[in-house]
Amino acid sequence: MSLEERFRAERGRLDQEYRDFDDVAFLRRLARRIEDGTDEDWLRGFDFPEEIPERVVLQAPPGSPGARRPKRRAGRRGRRGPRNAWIVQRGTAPRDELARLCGDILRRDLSTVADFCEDYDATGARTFACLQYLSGRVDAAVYWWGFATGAEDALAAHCLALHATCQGQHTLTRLWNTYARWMGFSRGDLPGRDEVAPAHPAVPVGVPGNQELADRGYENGLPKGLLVR
Amino acid sequence: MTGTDERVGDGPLQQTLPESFEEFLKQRSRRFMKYAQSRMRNREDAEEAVSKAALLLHRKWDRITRHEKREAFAFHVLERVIIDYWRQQSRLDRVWDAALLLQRTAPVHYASDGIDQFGRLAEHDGLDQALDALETRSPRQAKCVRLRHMVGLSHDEIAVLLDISSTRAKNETWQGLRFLRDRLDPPMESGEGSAAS
Repeated sequence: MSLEERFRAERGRLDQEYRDFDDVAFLRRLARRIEDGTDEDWLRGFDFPEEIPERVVLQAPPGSPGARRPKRRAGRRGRRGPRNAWIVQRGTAPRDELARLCGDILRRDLSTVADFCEDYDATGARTFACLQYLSGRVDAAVYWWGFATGAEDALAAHCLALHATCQGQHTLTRLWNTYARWMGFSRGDLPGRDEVAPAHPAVPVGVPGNQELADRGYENGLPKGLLVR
Repeated sequence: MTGTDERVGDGPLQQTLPESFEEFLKQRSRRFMKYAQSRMRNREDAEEAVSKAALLLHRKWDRITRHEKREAFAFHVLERVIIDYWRQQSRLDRVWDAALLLQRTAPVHYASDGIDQFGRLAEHDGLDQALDALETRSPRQAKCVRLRHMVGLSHDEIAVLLDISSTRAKNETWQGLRFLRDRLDPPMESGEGSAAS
């Protein structure tokens, strides 16, 4: 399909979607929201410019010489452009969030790696992928997360969404996030922070889940290099 | 059910909304909604973003109404709301709450809606990726392309919204299209072209 055909299809879809749009009904809903005052907190918190500028400055192309940068309050904005921050906790970098999630998954689901070794269990595949990710083998992690997602493991899809966010691939983030939600993923599926295992002396301190490794007899079963970040 | 299906009363709007504000939005809400949807890929999200932008404008309407370029300013506010919207989602955990609620109350609906949504995303996949890349490279070109080829505005209308000249709007749109074409329709090998000629 050519670019023109794609845009024609897009425009047709949007026209179709808003063919029945009732602007008066929209204004009534807006008026009701204003009367209810339910958005007051949000309105107060929004960084609305106190002074309306003479000339409206749009986001300048990044790196262009002499580009005027829109004024922002220090520390309020991370970066420009579309982002998919809704899957990331507020104030946390996606990379940190994913690393922490992998650690939590390892703590909770380490025993499933045995099932993965025996019959390619989906949960085990996801756990193994987290182990790979923490070991710095990102490509392998993405592969096994994809494998687990294909076997309908929603948390693996969430991991892929987080990873895409880390890479700045917003379209992929939307895709994996939708896929995770479609499979019924919810916050309740995230491993709890209270399931922290004490460190095992055989592997370096700080490696998540190493106590469970020892308890389940895996200290000699998995290469030690995989356990080190 | 979408937010737009909601039934509303028939009382006069002027009690809450100034007449000039109402007129302003009546003329532009549809195109703002289309633009928001082209970015957010979801009608509920688009309406929420446009509503919030309108709430912000209403709050400062006395000053905005005297502004020479209020349409461009309104569009600028909408842009900022769209960017802020995902952060807001994170703060309020609306996505998670909605997903949990839907799972509890109507799993069949949730599943079918999810399939529809997933299918729609898949349809947009290639174009979205290219537009994301263009947005990173040149946000203004991406806006021009969206407004021209997805919302269907003329170059003059785009120029007013983006506070640039009409020629600039045309030029930015053309450059944006060229970038997208290179990504989506890569040119044929030179050997094939010369063989054909």
